[in-house]
Amino acid sequence: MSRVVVLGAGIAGHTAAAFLRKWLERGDEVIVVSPKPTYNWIPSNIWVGVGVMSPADVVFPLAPVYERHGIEFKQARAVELHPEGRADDPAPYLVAESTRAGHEGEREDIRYDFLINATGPKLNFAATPGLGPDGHSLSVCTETHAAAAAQALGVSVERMRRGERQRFLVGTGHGGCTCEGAAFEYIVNLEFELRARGVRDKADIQWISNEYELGDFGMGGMHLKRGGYVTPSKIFMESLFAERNIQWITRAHVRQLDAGLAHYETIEGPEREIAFDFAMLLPPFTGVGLKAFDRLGEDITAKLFRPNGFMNVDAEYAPRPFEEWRAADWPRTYQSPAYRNLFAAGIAFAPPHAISRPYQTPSGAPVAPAPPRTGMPSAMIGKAVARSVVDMLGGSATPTHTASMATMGAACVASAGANPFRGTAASLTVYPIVPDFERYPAYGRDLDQTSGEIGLAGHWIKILLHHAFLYKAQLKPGWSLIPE
Amino acid sequence: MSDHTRTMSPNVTTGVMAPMPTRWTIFLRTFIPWQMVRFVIINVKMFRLIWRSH
Repeated sequence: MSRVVVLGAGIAGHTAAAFLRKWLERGDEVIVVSPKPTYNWIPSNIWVGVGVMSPADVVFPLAPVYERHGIEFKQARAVELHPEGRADDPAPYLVAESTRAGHEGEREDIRYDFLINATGPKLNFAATPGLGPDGHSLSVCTETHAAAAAQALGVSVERMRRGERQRFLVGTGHGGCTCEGAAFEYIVNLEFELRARGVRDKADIQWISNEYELGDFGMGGMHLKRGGYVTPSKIFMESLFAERNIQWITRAHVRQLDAGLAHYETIEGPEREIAFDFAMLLPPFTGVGLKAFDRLGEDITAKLFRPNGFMNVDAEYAPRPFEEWRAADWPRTYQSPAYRNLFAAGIAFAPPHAISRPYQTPSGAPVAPAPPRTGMPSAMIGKAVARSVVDMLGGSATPTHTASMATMGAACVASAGANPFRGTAASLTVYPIVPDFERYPAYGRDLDQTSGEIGLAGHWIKILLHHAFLYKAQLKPGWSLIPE
Repeated sequence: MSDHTRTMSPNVTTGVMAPMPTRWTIFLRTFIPWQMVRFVIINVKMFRLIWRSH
């Protein structure tokens, strides 16, 4: 009997656990360790953040689902890895700290044969003083953050109805952020909602991000064939913003937030300030801070993790200038180079480098969008890792399945307004996610499979995906037939 | 320029150099018969991509 432990129950971890259970023998154990008792379909949080969905629409409790499918669930936070076991027992184990009500802080050792680290990120609001729900800005990273944003939006709308002008600031709260696409969805949904509530004329809406150009999204932008031209995504994004009278600041690092005031600098110039009444600024991510120890109790965290807390996998991490970055640098199996029974999936793996060219401000602050690795790539990585683990338990010496972001495409539907008749969404496909200039010298991507358009059909697809992926995540009959 | 709100002259509105959709383009975005066609086409594109990625 084998035991596989999955850390995290987000898209990558939950997918991995579900497929492990499906593929492993009944006698084998699958254990999920996650600090939250619920699953959150994060792509729909933006709709919670503008008040068109409630938090209950985007979460469900994990324990009953796992119980029904024979997956053991421990509501706890992993804090230590011991991949070599103890001096007197070589069985690897981890230490988890309970987050269950009434048992907070209780520690437990959990032995494993294989471990998949899919913890996702730590939301690093502390990187920018004043950033976040405990400071002066809002977020949509969790359903509770999004609900607070919706509540603040309601207050602003009431003020506008009384005749006050309101200034909205949306984007990234640090030069090293990722998930610019989520912030984009939020700003256009916000604009749509303000129009729907009849107060758009009282709102000044401002975008601020670390992207070099609009439409970068942390993946170096993309090129689309439209109207007889190959056109960069920047053009489409500028058009979308101009059409909605949204102003923008790019190439920016937000240094600090005070009440109603953001201090920022760009790669070209000195520090500036921008006032706001409502700010939704995403935080940068780091790893969750797992520590690792060898069999003698020596700290080997630096051997397993990058300084930013993300886990080393089979990527090429040697630092090189942007011009020398290659698609082949990106990991394929997500196996730790140090321990064959240790994998990372989703945001928890350390990317070899960014995708977008990194810059910095004159004062040295980074303006370097981190690569996105959420949604479809996370799920596909989780599934590939699960298959490799099953095969290795079956006797294979090495991982059998790969899911490189340099050979994987992504389909993304970015909402631009939620209404079944008047709503729209940008439907995007990109292949591969990481540009490969050796295979596609001109633009790094296959333009026959890289596309984008905006329209009501995209909104219908977004609604369909919301329900389909929540159905799949609840592991209801036929769940595995729905692609990642 | 990176800061459109501050570096353009005051009488130039933000995004003035960006391409704008025509009324016909905007109409088609929510014209249901056309969007039903697009729904099918977008889904085909996405499934092709998913198939290739798997």
